[in-house]
Amino acid sequence: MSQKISDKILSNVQKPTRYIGNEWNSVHKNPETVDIRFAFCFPDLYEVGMSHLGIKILYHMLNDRDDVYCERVFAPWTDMEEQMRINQIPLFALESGDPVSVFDFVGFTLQYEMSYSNVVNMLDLAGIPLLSSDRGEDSPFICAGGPCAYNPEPLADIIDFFIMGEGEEVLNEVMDAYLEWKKAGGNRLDFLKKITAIQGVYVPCFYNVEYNEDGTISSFTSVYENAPQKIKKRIIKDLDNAYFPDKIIVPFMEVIHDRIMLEVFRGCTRGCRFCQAGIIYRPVRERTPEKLLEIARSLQESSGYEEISLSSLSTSDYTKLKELTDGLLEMNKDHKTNLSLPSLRVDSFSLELMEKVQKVRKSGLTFAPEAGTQRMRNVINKGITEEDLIRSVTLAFQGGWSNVKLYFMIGLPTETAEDIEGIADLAYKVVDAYYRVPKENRSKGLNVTVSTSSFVPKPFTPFQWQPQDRIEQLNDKQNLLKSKIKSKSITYNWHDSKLSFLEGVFARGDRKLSKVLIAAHRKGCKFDGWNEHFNYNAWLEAFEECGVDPYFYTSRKREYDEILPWDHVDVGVTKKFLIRESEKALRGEVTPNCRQQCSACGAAVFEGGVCIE
Amino acid sequence: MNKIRMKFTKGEQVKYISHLDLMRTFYRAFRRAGLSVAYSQGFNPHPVVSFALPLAVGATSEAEYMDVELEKDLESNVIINKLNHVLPEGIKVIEIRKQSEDEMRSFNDIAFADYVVKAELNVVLPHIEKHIENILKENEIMVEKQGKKGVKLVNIRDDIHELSIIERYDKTIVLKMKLSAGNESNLKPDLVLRAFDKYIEGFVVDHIQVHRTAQYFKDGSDIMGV
Repeated sequence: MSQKISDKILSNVQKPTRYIGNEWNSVHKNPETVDIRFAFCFPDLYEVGMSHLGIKILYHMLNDRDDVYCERVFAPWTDMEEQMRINQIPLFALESGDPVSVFDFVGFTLQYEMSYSNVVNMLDLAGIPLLSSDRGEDSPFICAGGPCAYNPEPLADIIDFFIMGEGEEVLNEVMDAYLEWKKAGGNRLDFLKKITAIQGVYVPCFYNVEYNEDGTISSFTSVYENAPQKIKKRIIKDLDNAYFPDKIIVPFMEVIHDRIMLEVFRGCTRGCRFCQAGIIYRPVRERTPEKLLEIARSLQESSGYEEISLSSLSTSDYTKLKELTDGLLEMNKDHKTNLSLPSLRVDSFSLELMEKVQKVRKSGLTFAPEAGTQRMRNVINKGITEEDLIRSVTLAFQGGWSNVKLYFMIGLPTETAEDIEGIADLAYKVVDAYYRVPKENRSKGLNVTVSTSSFVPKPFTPFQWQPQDRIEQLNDKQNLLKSKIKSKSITYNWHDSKLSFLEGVFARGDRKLSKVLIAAHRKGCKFDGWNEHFNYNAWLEAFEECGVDPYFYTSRKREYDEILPWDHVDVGVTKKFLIRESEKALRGEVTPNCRQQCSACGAAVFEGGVCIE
Repeated sequence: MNKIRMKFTKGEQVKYISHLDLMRTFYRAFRRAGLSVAYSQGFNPHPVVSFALPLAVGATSEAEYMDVELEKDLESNVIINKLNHVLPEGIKVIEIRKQSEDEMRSFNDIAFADYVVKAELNVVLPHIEKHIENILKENEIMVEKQGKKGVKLVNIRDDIHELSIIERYDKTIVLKMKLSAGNESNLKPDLVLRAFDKYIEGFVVDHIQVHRTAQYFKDGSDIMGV
């Protein structure tokens, strides 16, 4: 029995199951018998973290080693945090209940910028010094990875080292280096120096940043001679042969993605110019249907899950989709397992597939035109036309669907009022398409939902130099769109532009933001992604106190020759390509996807996937 | 028809999982064990499973029950072994009884349950046994109960069938009680403690731990019996 938190506390918090562990397939070891204790931290709630595929893979990968004991740690919800602080219970790991401060490594996965305040809060709850420079020989090493780590700078003063790219190999190399270092008996600094030799490892304290008077970076230099000038990300070349667990933890409570997730491929061939994931995960690498079916079979048997879903950035682009879904449907028949489909590009194939999978229930269909006019869609390289969309929705309406969701972005570069109005026009054209389907061939109760998110320029995209719309501009655009939508069949949802603003600051932030994060934490900022906890004014005060202007990061147009805070990270895709794409965007020219024609983005340097097919 | 009745335990490790979580855990355990549960026919097929009385979150039990229909006829000990092999720590099947339709006695007929309740009080109360004896002599024990339509005052005396202190040390008392349970009338142990709170001066409960030890049908017979 590992639970060390008293019943008095657990019976006084919501959903105590978040804090007890002991789930099926969770791994329990005797800490005395291992060399390394690794606390894998997800800086959000249990039910969010347990829905994340990466943690599932790396947890079992580390625990498959006899010398490592990897445990999970999630951010306690505020009611639990209050109890922990009153009763002086430090942040603990789920499996053993031990405080994370006794671990050798505390590793965070950074999935979204709005979880940074939780990283700081979790370190604080653990009693670990917030600043890397304040940590002594007894402190665990604090590391981080995940998509947000590609611009590590806002957390540079807080995290001891970052891991760039996919963790399956490099994490093992770091563990091996730790064992060697422990044996040799060096100090903390020796270990950090040692791991700079591992490709993909970035130790921020070995670099010095100088600034110009206007706040931009004048130089970024290494202060330790062996620390590489460029940190090159790591990828798994061949996914079929990469580690994948044959079991996954089955939570007791319902989590957000409570099913088997089959990762069909990594990367994306499309090259939408707003999309960071589409660049940083390049090149596209697929798993074969045989391998995926094998994984599905073993996970079903070991987990007992009744549902399987497919996961990737754009599952419709999987070259063997039919083969895979046929195989899964065949297998599921025996197991009475359901296949849940991600949002697929709607065509006759996918509609037929949905008929097969969902039988009678026709829940909503999702479309992502992303922009309202063809000009705007060309700018963002979203290779979809109005005809495509109308053809797809017409097929869907004829197939009996009457509930469609349309996703758009507002605040895109070069956007005008016409583009915003175009969103409303497109929604009306979808409504028209519904009424063109004869009454007897369509379902009743048309519902078109238009959702707009606010565009946030991200590092390593062709738009990384672009200014982000200010809160007032975004609000104006939202209001304009609201005024153009009068139909009862159309519902309009929009995102909080204040949150997008803060996301923008940290997405393209530099090292000066570490102190802002700590100041905001002191003001109680946490769970910023959760509406009820997002405290915008506290953030503004934190910026003010630290003398940091947040608009410097969001509203400024950057020049191509400016040294960007993330320039020392090498994702394979070159700056030259991004500039070329940026220029083409402004001219409204599209770029074909990787399978149609190679655009020499630079990802071929990794010699994997689509680049070598 | 391969209907079986199972008796299982819910231990410390899983006492905080809800009734719904527990049901899901069993569904998945059946799948892991390779035991196919029969599905209902109809528009929305679901596994043919029914659980006896739900246990409150935070309570443990050595006497929980469920009925399930399996597709295949298997030996009871084979089913027990297969399931216990794939159930999370803290949940254990301890008895299985195969039944034919006419033998089935519905969980709806459950009328009583036994509990052992450990209560940590704020103070040491030396004459607590006497106090409790006196309360039980009353015809009415009125407590506020949270119902669907708000708080109302209810008399719980008739739902307390047995009650005694079986252990006492420092500020802790351990009570054994037999209470009404089921569809007709259901009394939760914590409500009994709340009554003491009201009737005994100085009785303030700091924390209670409930453990269910048995459930019975109206005539006092065992749930696993015929």
